[in-house]
Amino acid sequence: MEKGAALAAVALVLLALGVVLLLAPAERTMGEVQKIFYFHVGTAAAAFLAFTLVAAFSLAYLVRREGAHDAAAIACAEIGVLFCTLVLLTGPLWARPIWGRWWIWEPKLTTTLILWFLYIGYLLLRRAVQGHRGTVAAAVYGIVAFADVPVVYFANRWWRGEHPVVFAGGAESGIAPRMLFPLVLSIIALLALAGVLFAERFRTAILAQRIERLEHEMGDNEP
Amino acid sequence: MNERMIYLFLAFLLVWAGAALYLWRLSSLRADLERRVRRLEGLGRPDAETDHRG
Repeated sequence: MEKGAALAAVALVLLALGVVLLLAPAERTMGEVQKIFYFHVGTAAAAFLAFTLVAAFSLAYLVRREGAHDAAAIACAEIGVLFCTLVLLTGPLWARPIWGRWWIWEPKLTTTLILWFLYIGYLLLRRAVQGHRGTVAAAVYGIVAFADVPVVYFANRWWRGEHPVVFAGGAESGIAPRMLFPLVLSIIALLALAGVLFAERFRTAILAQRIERLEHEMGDNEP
Repeated sequence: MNERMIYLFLAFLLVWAGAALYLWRLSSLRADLERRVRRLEGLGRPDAETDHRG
């Protein structure tokens, strides 16, 4: 089942690549390099979803105090950081040939970098403060850090910026109908890949909790 | 190859490399944790002393 899901996700990503390279039209002014957009948006969707789930599982943990919710929160945070890193790397690969610069300090890019640092902070907090106190602190942090997710999404609608606005950005935004299917397929494929990684990370987090419990029980039984 | 295609190729390579490296790290972490669980569960059994000698 695990292997089957992983293979299906890999097949889906390869299918998305094929569709992007062979079927998606080249953008009129940018040419083929615009196709980075399909992976860039897909990885951003996965990162946003993962960070949203960190907040949801953190809240669930604070309410119900179940270890599985905490394990899911840490798994989502790691997946989110991984995909946010990919967003921050694929973006400059598009920006260099189009803007002539790898990076500019404009609202979308800056708030995304802040988002990345926020969740690196979350992972460092988890390492620094162990035990129940650390878990509760991380859950609170995971909910507060989520505040930056809508800020990143709306950054270029709220403030003037260079980053293109594709969805719901008014008359100058939008996507050609022939680009829509490759985009949706790429998003689904990258979400599936994120799902497979999440399942694997969740299992390791559950194992780590089991070890903690066993060590605790053995400590209690010592004379 | 068109110079701009190199950027596209690099972007796709990064996505694969990122996912593959993470999965590799997770599988080694999981194998290590499973070993530790087996060891701890073995130590916790009432006949663990016999097991270790035998």
